[in-house]
Amino acid sequence: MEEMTARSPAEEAPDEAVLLDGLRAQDPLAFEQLVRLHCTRLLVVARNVLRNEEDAREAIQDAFLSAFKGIGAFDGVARLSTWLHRITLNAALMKLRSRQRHAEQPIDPLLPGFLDDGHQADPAAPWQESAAQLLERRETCDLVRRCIDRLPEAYRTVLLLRDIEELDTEETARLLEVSVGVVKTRLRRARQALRTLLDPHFRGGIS
Amino acid sequence: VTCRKFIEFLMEYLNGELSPQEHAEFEAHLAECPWCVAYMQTYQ
Repeated sequence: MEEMTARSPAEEAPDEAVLLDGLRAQDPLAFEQLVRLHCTRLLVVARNVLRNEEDAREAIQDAFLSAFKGIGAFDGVARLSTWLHRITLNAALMKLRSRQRHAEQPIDPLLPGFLDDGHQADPAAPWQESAAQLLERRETCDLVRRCIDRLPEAYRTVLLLRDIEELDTEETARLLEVSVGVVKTRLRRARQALRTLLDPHFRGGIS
Repeated sequence: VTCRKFIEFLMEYLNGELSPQEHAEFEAHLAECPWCVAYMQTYQ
């Protein structure tokens, strides 16, 4: 899909009702327009989940195929872009599950430790800058991304869906086929683990 | 409230999901524990 590049602003905002009519009528040009409009953004989403270019491309092909087949079931309540985003996440997560899995790394070593009296075993110290200030820098964003990639898979995917793709807890649970409680627990631990991984870099500034 | 409980329920505290009494207990812990202030600031 390399030939499909970003469109001009005017082309990015076609009349959605007209496009939807075309899709429902199985008009090939409407499908082509749908792919052109959304494939670049959806490829980024699939890459974030799969961290592999070939898998990501296969996932969005699967997603568009699902969309083409399922357009009759699209009720038009959500925007097409939102509907496609969810289908893409689902396709990417299915591919992730189907991969040969390595033994999952335990997350426990990355969680905060406590003394018997409940105090922090390794007391937290302030960072030199606020998280907001740190995230303004490109190198910080790259570091955060690398640290997210180091999280155990089950925790990385929850953090990705909740904090990067901005899904709510219920939808994250549905996509991952786990309970809402499991999503909350994994998100809590994922954020704690991410903080642990970032802490040595930011206590003394960017390293 | 111990540091353990504060950190365990920090997400709920930040999301405003604690009961008024629990919220007040967490505020009281923050007022006396610089370690948990630092943890919360770096968690966000």
